[in-house]
Amino acid sequence: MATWALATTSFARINVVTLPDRDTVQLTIYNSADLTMVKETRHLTFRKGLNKLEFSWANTLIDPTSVEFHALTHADQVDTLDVRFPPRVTNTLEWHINSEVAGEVVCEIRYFTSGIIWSADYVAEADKAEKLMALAGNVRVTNYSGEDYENAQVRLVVGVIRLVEEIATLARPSERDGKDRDENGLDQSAGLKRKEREMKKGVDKLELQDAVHAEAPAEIIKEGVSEYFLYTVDGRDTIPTGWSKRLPSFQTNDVPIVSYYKFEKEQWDDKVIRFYKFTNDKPSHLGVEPLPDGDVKAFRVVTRDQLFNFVGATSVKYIPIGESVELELGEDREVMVQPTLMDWQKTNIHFDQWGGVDGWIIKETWQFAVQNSKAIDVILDIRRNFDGDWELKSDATYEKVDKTKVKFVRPLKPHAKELFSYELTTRYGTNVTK
Amino acid sequence: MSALCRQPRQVAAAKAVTSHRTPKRVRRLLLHLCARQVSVFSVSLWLIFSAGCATAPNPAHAHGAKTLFESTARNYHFPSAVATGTERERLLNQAATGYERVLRQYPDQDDWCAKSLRSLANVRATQGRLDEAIQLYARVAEQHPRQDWEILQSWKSAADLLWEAGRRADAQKFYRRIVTRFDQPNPAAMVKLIVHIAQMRLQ
Repeated sequence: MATWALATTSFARINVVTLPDRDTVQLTIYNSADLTMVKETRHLTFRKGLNKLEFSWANTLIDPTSVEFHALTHADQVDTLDVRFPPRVTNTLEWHINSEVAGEVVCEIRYFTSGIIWSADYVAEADKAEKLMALAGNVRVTNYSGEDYENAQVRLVVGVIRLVEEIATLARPSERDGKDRDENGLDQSAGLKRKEREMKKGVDKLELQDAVHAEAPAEIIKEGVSEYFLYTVDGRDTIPTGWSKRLPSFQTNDVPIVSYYKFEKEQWDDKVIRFYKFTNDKPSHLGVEPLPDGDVKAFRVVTRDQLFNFVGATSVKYIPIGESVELELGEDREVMVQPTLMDWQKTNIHFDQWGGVDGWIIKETWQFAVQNSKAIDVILDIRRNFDGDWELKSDATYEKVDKTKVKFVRPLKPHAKELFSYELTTRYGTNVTK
Repeated sequence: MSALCRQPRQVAAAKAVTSHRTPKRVRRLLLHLCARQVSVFSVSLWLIFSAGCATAPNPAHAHGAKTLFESTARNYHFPSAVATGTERERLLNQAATGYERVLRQYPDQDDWCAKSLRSLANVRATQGRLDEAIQLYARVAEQHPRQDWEILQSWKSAADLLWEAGRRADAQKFYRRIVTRFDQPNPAAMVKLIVHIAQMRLQ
């Protein structure tokens, strides 16, 4: 566990002082790599002259090469003169710090560690009519870094920072053996360090933006192929090593949703699948930040006294601001679609000069029985896929999605049953016209 | 007769590749495979795999080395920092024994051996055996040239010990090594600080 100790020199005597707990800890966790930047501050009492400050990374996944010390107050009067590796212990460094002030100095230590990961999850609660929902976001932080982080502020880098994939190896020297050299045996660790610096620059830029636009909505940083967003989880919490903590990140009510039901034989066989669609934008009471990828559990109010029914679960990818997302929530047996082949004919058969069949036309008549057993209006989206030279006739309204797909969108009243049909003509061989 | 036996040149080449490791074992296996009519392709695959395994560190050793190193540090080296008198000397001797065991039992574990060698040097330095400690620190780079962080710590420790002992010229040799090897563009924060300090000591 990382420990600190302050030793002050007074002639030949050395007094080792146990330091107070961290005042603040900030964890910036990178989603796309097992890497976390830790910034901690402490109020240290320095003597005028030489002060010794110990930092140990024993039994942790801290990358010792990344450790930095800065004085945040009296910065021009506090200098790091030397850093030593005291032989009496292992995995410990000792800063020799010259202070021109006697008294309290606020200090910051920064370093990278691995072993801290996060995942997001959401709970969607739709109203009875499936027109609005409450959306709550949570972040689960899991710490197996070997270090306890008390009262930590958690920030997540959502999105992709380029060149981060290999960074995780930095904090794990034992796993790094042999991997930081290329096929020619040349050292690649400098390259990895460069990437670590690039990441730090990215975070610094985001922090500067936070500072300048403290009240203004944060913006997404775009650099090259990178697009990332610094997402701060409200509040602080203690995350001991070996533990997971689920932290609430946001709660929004009255998010408009479009609920609809899809039927597509090729995708879901005979099942009707329920979808909720919403947009990550301001009119939807969202749009403050991109939403990280995560699992979604959806519920729906079923009674007046706010009893909820589990609707389904799915996972969503990263949702940028302004983008819409469809939540595929699984089968709903209260909406039924039953296609039936009513007629099939093979006509216009054409023969070649040797008597072989080289052209024909297939005519199919399909009838669809659709039923809504729910007490609310639903929108049913039925999709059919056709190959080759086809032609469709139907009294029902349909829309061509692409060359091989059409969709019938049928609004259904509560407890409604309906029938509709279409006639499909498909030409083959010499009968093909297009 | 199998394809393997009909192509003696390829077999000879394969044997030449592996003969510096376990020639008898390979020869016996090749004969066995020949009798079983195994294809050249299969044998080639096995030889490639076998050669790879021969050079790769044993994963079981990694766990053993880690356990031994950490228990040595936890049970003897760390407690020695607060012990006094004969108890301190006993703990330091046991720590040295533990680190030496890592070096002896797990020579294929480059990183744990580098750590153990540096820690052994730390023990000797704490015991006041300066020249022995300096030799051990120097051996880290000689025997584990890929362990940059351990090398940097070792050279810095050696340099600082010599500097404090008044052997400035000897210390500067180590500071110079640090600058030569680690003064690279875009260094990590700690490396940058140590290189800067070494440069100051060379002025």
